Amino acid sequence: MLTILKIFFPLIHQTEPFEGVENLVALGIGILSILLLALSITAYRKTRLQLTIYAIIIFSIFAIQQFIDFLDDILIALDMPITDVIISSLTLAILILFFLVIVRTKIT
Amino acid sequence: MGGCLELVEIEGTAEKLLYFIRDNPGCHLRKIRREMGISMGTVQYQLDKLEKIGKVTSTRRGFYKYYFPVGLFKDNEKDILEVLTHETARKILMFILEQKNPTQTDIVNNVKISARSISWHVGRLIALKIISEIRDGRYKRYQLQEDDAKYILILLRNYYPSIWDKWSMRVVEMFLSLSSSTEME
Repeated sequence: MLTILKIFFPLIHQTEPFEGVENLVALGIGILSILLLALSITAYRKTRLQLTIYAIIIFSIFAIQQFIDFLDDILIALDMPITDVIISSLTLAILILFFLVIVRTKIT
Repeated sequence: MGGCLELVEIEGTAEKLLYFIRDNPGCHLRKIRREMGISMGTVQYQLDKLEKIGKVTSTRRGFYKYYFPVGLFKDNEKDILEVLTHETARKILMFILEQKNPTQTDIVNNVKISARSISWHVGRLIALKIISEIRDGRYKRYQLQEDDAKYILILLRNYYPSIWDKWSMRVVEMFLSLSSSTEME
């Protein structure tokens, strides 16, 4: 069956077996981070709570990180070691922000 | 001249609509149409007219447009209405209505979200003068402002949050819960 499919759809030969799943997961992360970003913006507009600014920044970084990762896959110019450093730095920034949310005490 | 025009404008159907909105603040267009048995076109036309002459005000949330009599709350009208769409604030208000004057610990135990989150919501409700705080020994108790209790109850029934409102407030609550708690009674 797979052989027949490969004859009619030669692209199957060129595609990594998990590439489709990887793309779907990446798409899911992108959509969810944008949804959470929109929710945090709404939350800020409703409450004017400074804590929600952290949420906006965190979910923005998630979305940016996913966008850079996506560009890294499709643009050869971005396929450099520095791109991985940037992506890792963004993960670090997200964790630092979560840490700051946990340790801060003043809520305004 | 303006007064005459106003009297003419709010006769008949418009007058009935105005009384209905006064009795049911925060009701939405479809509900008004359903309960008054008037065609959608007539309801929309008359409500637009009432809005133009400043008798009612409206606000859109998701798919619904909600109507209020002008001057329902004297100050911070928009803020009060905004707060009433917060799921947790509604739960707190319902609990206070039910228990009359619970302590903050009672509210935390009943609403079952973090003390920090409850404290923040209660603070907002006090600031907007929807509830007031009374000292009872070492406890703080909360009660609804007597004059507004009836309206708050009607608004809670009519003016409910959209799914988007609920979700956005859950983001706030998640971050409030993550943040360290410093104050309790």
